[in-house]
Amino acid sequence: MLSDVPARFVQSNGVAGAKLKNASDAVPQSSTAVDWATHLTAEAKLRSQPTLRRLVVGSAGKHEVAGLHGGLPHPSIFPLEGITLHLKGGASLTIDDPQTVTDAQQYNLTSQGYDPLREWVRVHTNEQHHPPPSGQHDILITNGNNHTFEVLVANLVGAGGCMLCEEFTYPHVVESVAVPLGIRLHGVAMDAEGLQPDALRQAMQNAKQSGSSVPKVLYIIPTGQNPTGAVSGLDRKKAIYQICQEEDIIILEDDPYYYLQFSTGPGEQPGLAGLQPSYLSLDVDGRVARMDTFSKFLVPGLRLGWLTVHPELLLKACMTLQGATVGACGLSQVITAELMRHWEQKGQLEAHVRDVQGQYARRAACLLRAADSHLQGLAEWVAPTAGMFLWMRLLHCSDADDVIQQLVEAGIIVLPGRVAHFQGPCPPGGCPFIRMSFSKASSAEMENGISTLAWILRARSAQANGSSKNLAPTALPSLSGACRAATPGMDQMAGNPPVVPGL
Amino acid sequence: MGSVTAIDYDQLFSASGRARGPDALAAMAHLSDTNNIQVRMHGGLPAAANFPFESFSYTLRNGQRSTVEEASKVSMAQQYNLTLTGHPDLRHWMRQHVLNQHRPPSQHDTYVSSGTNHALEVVTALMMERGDPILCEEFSYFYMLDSVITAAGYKVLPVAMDEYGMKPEHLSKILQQRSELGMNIPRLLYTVPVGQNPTGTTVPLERRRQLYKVAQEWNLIIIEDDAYYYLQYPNGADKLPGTHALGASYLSMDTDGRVVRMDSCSKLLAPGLRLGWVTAAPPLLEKMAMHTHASLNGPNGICQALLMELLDQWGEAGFEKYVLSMQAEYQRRAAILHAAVEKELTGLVEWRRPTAGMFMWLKLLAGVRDADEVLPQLAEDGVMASDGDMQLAAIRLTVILHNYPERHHNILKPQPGLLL
Repeated sequence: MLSDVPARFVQSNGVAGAKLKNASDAVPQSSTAVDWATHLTAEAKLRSQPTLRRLVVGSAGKHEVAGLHGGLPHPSIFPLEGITLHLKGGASLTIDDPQTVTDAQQYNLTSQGYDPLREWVRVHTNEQHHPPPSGQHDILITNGNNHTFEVLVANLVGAGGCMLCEEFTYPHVVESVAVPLGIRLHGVAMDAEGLQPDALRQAMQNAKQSGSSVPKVLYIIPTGQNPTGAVSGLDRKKAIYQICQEEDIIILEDDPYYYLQFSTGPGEQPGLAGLQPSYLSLDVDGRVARMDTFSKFLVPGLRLGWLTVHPELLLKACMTLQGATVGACGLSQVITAELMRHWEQKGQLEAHVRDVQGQYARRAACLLRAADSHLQGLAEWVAPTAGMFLWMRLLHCSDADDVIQQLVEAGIIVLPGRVAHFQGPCPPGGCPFIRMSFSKASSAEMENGISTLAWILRARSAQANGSSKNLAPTALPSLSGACRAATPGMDQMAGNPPVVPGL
Repeated sequence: MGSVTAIDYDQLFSASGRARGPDALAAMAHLSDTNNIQVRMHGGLPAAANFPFESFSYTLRNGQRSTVEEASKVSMAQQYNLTLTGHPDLRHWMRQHVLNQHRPPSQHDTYVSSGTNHALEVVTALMMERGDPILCEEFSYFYMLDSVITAAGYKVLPVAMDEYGMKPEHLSKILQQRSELGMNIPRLLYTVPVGQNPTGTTVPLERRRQLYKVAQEWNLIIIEDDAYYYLQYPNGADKLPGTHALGASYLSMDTDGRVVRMDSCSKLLAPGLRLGWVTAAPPLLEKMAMHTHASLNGPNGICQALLMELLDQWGEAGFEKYVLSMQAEYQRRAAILHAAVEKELTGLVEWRRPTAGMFMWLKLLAGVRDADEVLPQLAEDGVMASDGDMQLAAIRLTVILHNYPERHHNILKPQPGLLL
């Protein structure tokens, strides 16, 4: 298994418990454990730890060694002596311990990431997911989920390979990964709770019967799904997991909205304790590669996340990450570790997460109120309970493009659903869905957007019924027209946001 | 083969390079930028209201301090990159800096990168298919060899070096032979032309011109990995070059737009920032920026904001002063190592005094055929040196020492049986 790798590579320097399970437990392997040799791509198999890296990592921290080998700049040359992070609410975090400031500026000396952060992540992941010990999961600090997905695809799918995904999925995956790499996507039908088990079985049947290669990887966004907003409950996840066991499928659990689960009703927000169980929590086989990110619940500018996965795949992912960016950004890792430690001492992580959940709940509620009030009979949707998207089907409409165009002419942009289709951006047969984000727009903007959409849909409906009055584009409602009073705390916009690529 | 002086990049991109375009969201973003758009509900940006930081302060070793506190900057630091090319203010600084330093003779553009390693992965993916050859200096940067080239299934074509770098006649010979045998001609030539890793070589102007000419004859794209560019000290401690006498880069002679130049903050400032900048002809740069953004969502926002604040605080004079201080530091360390080697190893090794970067390349004499005969014993004696697994009687020493000067001399004393 890991016998060809120096032991020091996998373990971190000085921090015990690199693995999530207690290293002293002897855990029986699951009967449906993964044989990684059958899943790794040719490229993955070629990867070995760079020689120099082995030397650097192997001698890191040994002060009696005269290190004349690595290309590590000496810490005394680094420009920064200290950083202070001023938090909203008045508290400050000063990072001026010389070793910590050095760690923030140096190359990653432990391959799996900055140890204090990894340790925090390890404990946190254990608390949130209680991964089954037989899965043997380990942690790698990453550059966030976009990049981690690319890393996993390189090691499990490869150019020209194939992969299962939800019928509507994160647009980036289709356009920026699958298309350039010639990866064939097998889209699987969804319902209000996400990917459907029967459809998954059918997709596998079809793939086997077609004679082309059978997919062994499933990419799935189980919480606040992008774009549909769906949340997969525990039973649904169990059913999907079971099929993956039978078919020996690796599950790439992309969960950026996990912490953004919310309640738009009168009750409390879920906080950290009330979140839906993940695929990781079911993973007795070690077939789940779970991608977590700090981007949505904390700060996207950090470019930071973590991967929880079986050690054999972790090794390959780690080496890929080392090759790509020599690990994650040192400064981000240190800042995040310090912030988490600071918040933990004051129980503030829970408070922050609840606060974020409350924000999204209020925004969702605002958008839903507008939709309820204007769009009955014109569109259909399911109220989201996580994430930042409202997924809407335009009724009496086989393709949303005309409507989208008219919205643009009226000064409103929403995402055409076709862009998120696994055969996007132009799936055959058109696509009647649109995706609206409630993460940033003000309540007035949402109201305007929805009421304009309603106007457009009514006009189309009237036209379809033969009536052609009042359809001149100039009759569109003015955008400076009546606005709802802002929901308290929500309208803190700092002007129009600029270019928004890639999301 | 005739000279090619204008690059048609469309002919050079790999299949995945050609397939990489602006995604639909980027197209919408374009749209969203126009004046009549009032309501934007297409993207998934978190609201700034949820970001925890209100400002960032830093203190430098030299006592300087500053704070990033303007609301839009603090917000930008914490938000996703909203452009494909990094923070606009930082990118502007880098672009202007490149124009001032290199005065490229044809059209180029610059984006903020997430470090050179990633840029190397991106440029090779854009221009090579699995199995394709890439020309490299015969001794080259380990990471590029292991983690980029080998991992992606590319093939290395090593070009022989002398004390001035790659030999143009050998480069020509390789290409001529391949052409005659009907083998595919490599598209890319990878070079670290200043303080080369591992040999420490800096390629002089005339040699560069010769190599550029060969590149023109064979339509090669030159990847100029210039991580040590600012760390030059060829004339000792008294005449440090600052930013004004760093020699001509390949970019500065790039009439054709065939140079992809990678600058890095890692050795100049700190590697933990994971920042740099890439300059190339617009058709290539655009693809690189798209790929970088698709892959990483661009570079770290907080690091970009801090760096911008630092550069603003320094101004040109401060930046010059800082570069000089880095050059002085590396020169001092190199001088110590050089003196120790001169004292202890004359006759046992061949070496040259470093004039840039952080490496000294020692050719082991006295019947040693492979550094592997020597390295393990060195390690046992508490000295880590490296040879990058090459079958070679040479080792690379890093001038960055943890403790100096006295320990240093002890380290290099020939141990019994270690060196004949």
